[in-house]
Amino acid sequence: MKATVLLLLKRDLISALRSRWLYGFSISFAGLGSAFSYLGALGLGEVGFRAYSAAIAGIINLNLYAVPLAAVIASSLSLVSEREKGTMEFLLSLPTSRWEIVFSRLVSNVVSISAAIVLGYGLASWLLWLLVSETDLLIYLSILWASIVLAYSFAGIGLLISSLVRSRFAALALSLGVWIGLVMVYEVVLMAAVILLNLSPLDVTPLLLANPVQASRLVIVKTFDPSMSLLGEFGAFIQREFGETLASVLIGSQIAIGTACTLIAMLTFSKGDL
Amino acid sequence: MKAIEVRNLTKRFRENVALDSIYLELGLKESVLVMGANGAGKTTLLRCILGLIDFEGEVMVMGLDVRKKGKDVRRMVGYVPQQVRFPEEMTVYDLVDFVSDMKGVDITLEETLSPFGLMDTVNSPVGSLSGGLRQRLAIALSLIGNPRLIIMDEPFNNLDPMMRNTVHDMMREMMRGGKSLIVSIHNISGLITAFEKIVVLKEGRMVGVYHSEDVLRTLRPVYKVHVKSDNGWTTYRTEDLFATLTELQESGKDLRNAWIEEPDAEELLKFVGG
Repeated sequence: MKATVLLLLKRDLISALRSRWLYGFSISFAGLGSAFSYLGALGLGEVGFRAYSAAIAGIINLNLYAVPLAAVIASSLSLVSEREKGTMEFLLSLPTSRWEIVFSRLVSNVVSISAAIVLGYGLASWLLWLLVSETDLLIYLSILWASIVLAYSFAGIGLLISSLVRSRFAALALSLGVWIGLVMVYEVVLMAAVILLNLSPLDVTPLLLANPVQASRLVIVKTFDPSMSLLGEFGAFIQREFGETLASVLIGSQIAIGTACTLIAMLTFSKGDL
Repeated sequence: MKAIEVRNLTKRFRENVALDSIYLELGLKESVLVMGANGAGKTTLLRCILGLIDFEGEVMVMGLDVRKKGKDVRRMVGYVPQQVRFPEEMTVYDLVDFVSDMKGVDITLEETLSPFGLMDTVNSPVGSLSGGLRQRLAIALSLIGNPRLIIMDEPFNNLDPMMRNTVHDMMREMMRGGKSLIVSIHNISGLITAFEKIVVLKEGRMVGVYHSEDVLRTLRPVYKVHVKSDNGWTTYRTEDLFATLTELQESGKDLRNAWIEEPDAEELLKFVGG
């Protein structure tokens, strides 16, 4: 007998890979990725890929906006839309448990968003393969990996939202609110706090690790600039504090947030009604 | 061991008490009809028995605590929900395959779908099926894995008289085959003759358990079967609905467009205080 969680996963993956969302995100990511590779290639002759231009920094920021949005929206709809349509009762009446359903949704959402990222950036990777060295391509692939970790984190947050709300509208509204909060407002508030409260790098570090977007941004900076000197005093501090483990800490914090949100979603969903 | 043991079952939806201290026992090979007006708590009771929603109190199914062993319980139970909603993009084939895999049984499409006249729909997406076909599919799926206990919530919803007759015959066959059945209805369906015991719910409380013979002796419900022929509509009055349906079918009457007028359920509910 096959494990029920695998059967659920198979069904959820098929459903996720058929989703219109996936194609939309793939096209968006392809646009971003192509722009990324094109602009990167422009700078090759003069300064090299590593000394990325302001334009590339902008594209990376866009990546930090698009991936969380895709992941949080897709995941926040995954449980509540079945509840709203009434198909959740059918699923729950089968020999499965609620935690298996949440786990299956997490994996299928992360796989489908990752597929969108890989499909979208695949073309760009190929272009880069033709234009840049193997080392630079590895940097590009590291960014791709950072995007997948970020997607995992926001998929967990999305599932938590989905387990808490009663309608798709509420799920969409809340996920947009969380996305705006973590992607845009958080940074402004943090900068204001640093200035007004005179926060030290030591105070700022946990605040950055607590937000997956900020952690992912640091991962990408680290990819381009292993010494973190681009970030000035803070970069020097964080590099000194964590040393070789910095990238792992930054990735680990995002995985921890995604996992914690998923576990809370399992608990909430288990106690919820249909 | 009992098929179902419900002890002090209470279910609240926020401040509303949907079920209040319900006690119910159903022996192996026994069958019970759960009756009550809309909002009496029938669906909630059946969902609690299957472990689909959280509750206070204790529910044991086939000797297993549904809260701790819900997954095992659902492997042994067939369930027909009141509102039949399946993932619309799945085909009938996908659905049968998915349910049989989840239950860990090998079945053939023929044995599952043929008794309900669904073989022609094998490759149709569930979303394209009519309400009646979906109801038939729900009943067909509930029987996958030869369950020992079958829970049906308003199984006659959307069924034409001919299919009602088929389902009624199947229920009798299941009873003869030693299966336990718990079926909810909100009107004096012809099913009343097939079940020994009737449980009546009112506003979340159990009014009592009655023998159907006693109820029938007092009420003597009369059903009207309206059958369309070339000469217009003909009405047949009967106290034994399914015997009459069988006779009409055997005499070559087309029951696909027939409809059944059921006696007013209020009379029964007044009789039993429900």
